[in-house]
Amino acid sequence: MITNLHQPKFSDAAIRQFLLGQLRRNDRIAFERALFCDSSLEQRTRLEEIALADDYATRRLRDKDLNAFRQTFRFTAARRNQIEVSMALNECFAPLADAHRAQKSPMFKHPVWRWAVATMILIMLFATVWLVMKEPQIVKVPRRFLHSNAPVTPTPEVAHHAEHATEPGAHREELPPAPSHEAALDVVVLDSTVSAENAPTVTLATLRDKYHLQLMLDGTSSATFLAELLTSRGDLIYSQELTTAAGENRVSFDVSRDRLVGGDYQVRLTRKPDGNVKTYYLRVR
Amino acid sequence: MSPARQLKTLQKTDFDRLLLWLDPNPEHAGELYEKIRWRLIAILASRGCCVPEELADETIDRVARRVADIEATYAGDKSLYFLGVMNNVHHEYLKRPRLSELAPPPEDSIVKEQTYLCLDKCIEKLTPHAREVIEQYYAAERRAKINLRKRIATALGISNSTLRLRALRIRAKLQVCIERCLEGSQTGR
Repeated sequence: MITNLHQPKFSDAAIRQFLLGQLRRNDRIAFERALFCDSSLEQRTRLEEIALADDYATRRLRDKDLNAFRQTFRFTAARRNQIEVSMALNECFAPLADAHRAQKSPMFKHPVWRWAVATMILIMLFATVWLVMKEPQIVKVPRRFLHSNAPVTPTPEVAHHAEHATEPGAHREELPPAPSHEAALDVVVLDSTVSAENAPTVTLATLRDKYHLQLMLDGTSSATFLAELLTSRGDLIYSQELTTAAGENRVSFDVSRDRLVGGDYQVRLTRKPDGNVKTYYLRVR
Repeated sequence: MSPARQLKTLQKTDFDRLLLWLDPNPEHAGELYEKIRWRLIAILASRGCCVPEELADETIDRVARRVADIEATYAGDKSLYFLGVMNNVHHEYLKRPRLSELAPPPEDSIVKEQTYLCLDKCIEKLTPHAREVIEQYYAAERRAKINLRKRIATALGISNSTLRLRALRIRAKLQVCIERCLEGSQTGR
């Protein structure tokens, strides 16, 4: 029997290698003997065993260690219980979101995938910058959309129209600058079913001198109306008599810009024959 | 006869003699016995043995049967005798025909639930400081965990490795407490 043993110092990494069965034969034999003679090594090995279970529970083991762990570590009841406790501790004290994310996207666990995704994002970024530099007109696209004719819809919205647009909704490449003040109007579609809180907002533009309010009607029969522009408190600013032709579901009410300042307004529309009143709300900024 | 059956047939007199040979003090002998068993299991598991507990018990069984013959003449560290016998037992095990590789048993949901209950109980038994260390040590994931542990270590005025050691020692105590709690709940079932 061996009684006088050389007791080498083993690092934490060596202890971990022992637990995972990764020590070379000679080192393993030396470690096994030391484990029987050195109680401090035994204590450290017990703690490393727990640390290993923790790392497994939190998916921090590298692939090589993970395989070794599965082949050597889990075959004792005590260790299985250690893993159980590690998982319970992590679930109790660690936020779950990260673990769930890792479960749902296992590809991101692998560094190769992370690099691939990062590279792809960079390539897309450089391609976008290159394209914008090569084709600068691309950046004008949003402005074109802003200036294009919006179709008149029954929903409350603020639409910018050219007065002489040939076809509603027709797309035009580039609007020329407004030739005169008369040529450009802001069209605002108002609906009496929209409450004051949800009223459409009109931004006062310096080049506009008229705002073309389209008041949506219930019916399409010909009628005469009295349209009154009022402040939110009910003070009359301007009124106008309007007539609709048969088949029209809206009536146009033009308001000159100098009658409007920033604030909340209402338009009271009274149908002449029967005195039926509808109220439309509008915000001006 | 399977090793498990042989283990069951171990006579109480042999076992008592084994403990007496290890240490005249029964309490110390019990502790030493547990340590030796743990070491045997750790070594067998690291060698890739699928049934380390079974082979460790078989080793202890063989030593217990031989104590009567060697106790008068044996000199040196007694625990090392187990290592020698274990090598033989493992060697024989490797020569046995393998039916199939054993897989670890599936998770038992009842045990899992019980583990959670025991964890709660055992955490309650920790001192407030130990509880705080454990809670903070396990309070983050991956990279965040590393950073958090650095912050905890700085706050406590200790190095990362000392914090790790402290946390693992508390965790080891928790483990013992939970194992006892689980044993208690299993006998109560």
